[in-house]
Amino acid sequence: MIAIGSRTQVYPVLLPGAREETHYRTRRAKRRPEIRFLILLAILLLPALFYVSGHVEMARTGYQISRLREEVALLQRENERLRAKVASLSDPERIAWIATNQLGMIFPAANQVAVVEVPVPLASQAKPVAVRAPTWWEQVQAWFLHPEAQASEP
Amino acid sequence: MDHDRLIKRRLLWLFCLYFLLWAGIFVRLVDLQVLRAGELQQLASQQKFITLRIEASRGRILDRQGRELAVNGEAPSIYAVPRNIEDPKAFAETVAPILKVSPRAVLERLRQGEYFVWLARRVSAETAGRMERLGLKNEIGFLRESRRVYPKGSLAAHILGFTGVDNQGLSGIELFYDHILRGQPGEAIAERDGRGRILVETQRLVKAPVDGATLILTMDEVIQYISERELDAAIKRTGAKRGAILAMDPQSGEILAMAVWPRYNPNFYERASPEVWAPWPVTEVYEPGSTLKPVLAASALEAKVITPESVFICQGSLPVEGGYVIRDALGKRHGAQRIREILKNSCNVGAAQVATKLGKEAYYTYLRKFGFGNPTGIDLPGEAAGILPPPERWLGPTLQTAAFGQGISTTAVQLLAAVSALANGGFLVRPHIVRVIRDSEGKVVKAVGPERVRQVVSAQTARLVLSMLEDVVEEGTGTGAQVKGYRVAGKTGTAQKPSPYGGYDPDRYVASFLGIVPVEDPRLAVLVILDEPRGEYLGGVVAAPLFREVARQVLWYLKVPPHGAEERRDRG
Repeated sequence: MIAIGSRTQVYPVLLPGAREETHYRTRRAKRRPEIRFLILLAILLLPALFYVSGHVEMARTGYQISRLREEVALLQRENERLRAKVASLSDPERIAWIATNQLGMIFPAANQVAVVEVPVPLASQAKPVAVRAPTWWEQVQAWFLHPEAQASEP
Repeated sequence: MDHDRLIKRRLLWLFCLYFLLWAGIFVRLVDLQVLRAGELQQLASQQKFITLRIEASRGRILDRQGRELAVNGEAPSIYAVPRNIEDPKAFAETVAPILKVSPRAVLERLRQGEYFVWLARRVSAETAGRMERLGLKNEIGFLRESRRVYPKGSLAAHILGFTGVDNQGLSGIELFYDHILRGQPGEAIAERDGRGRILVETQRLVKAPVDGATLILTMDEVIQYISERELDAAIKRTGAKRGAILAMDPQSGEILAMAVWPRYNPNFYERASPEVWAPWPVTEVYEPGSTLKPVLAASALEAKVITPESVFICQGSLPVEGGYVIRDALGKRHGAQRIREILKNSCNVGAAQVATKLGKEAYYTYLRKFGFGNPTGIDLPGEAAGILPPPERWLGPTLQTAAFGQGISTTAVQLLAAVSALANGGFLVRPHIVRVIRDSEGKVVKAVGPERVRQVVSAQTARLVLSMLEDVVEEGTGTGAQVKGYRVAGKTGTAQKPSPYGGYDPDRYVASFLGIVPVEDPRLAVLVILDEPRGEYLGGVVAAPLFREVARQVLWYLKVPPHGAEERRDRG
């Protein structure tokens, strides 16, 4: 079968007043469709990738928090155990046992302790301390020679 | 043409098949998404979401100086998976000796479930280790559970009490303040991943947990230790069946120590007999004997039926209503006595005469005012009210015997609170054990101060009776309670115990001493009780020296300066 060729041909003509787009069209025409597709795919996929990676990071941090929480709980339990141990070590019965059986100490008997009786000071018996007023000469001396003396205690 | 029809028919079949397939999918979708949507959503949620119970930590118990008396620890618990046990009988026989139970008990537990049954809760590390070494990995498992720990062992066990397997208070302070100590568990919801791990970012707190409050007691560990050590020694010395020492600040009602013998270790409470668990100075009544005489003296003086100078004649015995005869201990005749001498010599005949003069109604009213017949309100469970029948039921010589503490019953803590009123200007204070309650963040929720119940006698009467009690220790039956350097007031008691066959048993006594020191500014009220001492049984001989030993050491510990005795000599 013989195909009939086209009788007309179209040639681009730059009409006066029309914009020159040839340059741009040439650049666009140069882009291959595969690249266009890939760019489009990247534009579409990037947010999804960001979204997924964000979630992955979140999950990873979550697991880390879980582990740290377990660690905190473990340390708290250890802390409790050590507190109980400290308390049991300070048991007065244990201390008394060590003092008497290991260190050779004894409980003081009543006759081994001397009672020093402290009389109650009666208000009537308490004599006020007489403070002599400084003479005028001492005041002058204190003023010129030893001003710091005024701040000291008697 | 036939070919076209064939193709059309095939296309029709294909279309039908295709339609049916989609129709099937559609129906299934409607079934899953519409008809069973709710049910399946719930099922999915159950698989995906997990409700987490956030356990609240039980509050600690500290002494008045902040020393830890009850804290939380951990202990392994052992469970079994009955489904995986091929020969339950052999399994029971293997594990029973390690768990210290009978094989039958193990078998009974195995019958309680298929996937999970507790074999033993909160066992020792040694028991858990022995079980682990059996290598029964499919049959048994281990879980760590919170456990109450009492680091001071048996110290103050009767005050603290203990908790059960689920950490619930079962005795003592642990039971009384269980609602405060326990706290409230919280709840959170979270999603799980495919491996069952919790996704933290999905966790939502539904209810925040509230940890239990911390209790700061009025009790002092050192005073408690001194009391327990001296009580142990006295029990060993006297062979008494049981004993108790109660120390209280008479002005505030703060219980400083409550030593009770026999003791037990709350960490292993199940090893002790249940009778030993209860703090009997609070939960049981006894006849106080002559330690009640100060109450009689204060009542009679306050009612003005006698004066300090009123004289009563003691001829060794006194016939009373119903043909009964009141006798003095050891058949002594004290002759002419004032109330001061009646107390000093612990004269029953004189006390019976004073009570007769006071009368049933008045004495009963005063006893009630002093708090007898009613619980004191101390913060320990199971407090007894005492036995104080109304005066119309005081038959025969009850009035006279009640004068020296027989025929009526009190608890030890009641008696201590009542006599302490004499050291407190005549005011009865409520004895208490918890001083401060702090929440889990350390904020004070409640601070318990001195709680004056009522004024039972005037300050003048209280002072007068206290000075009479000082004579008891200076030159009366209580000389054994003298503490060098301090002024001591006190009263001895030697009460016969009621016989199960009626009347009183001539061979069983309760020896006691109640002392207050120093008299000029009372800091310590101590009640010593020795139940059924062997050999020597007089309160002045066995209980008063025990008071002296405790008071001497506690006064040193409290740094109370010893200047009172000199003052007393000067005054005399």
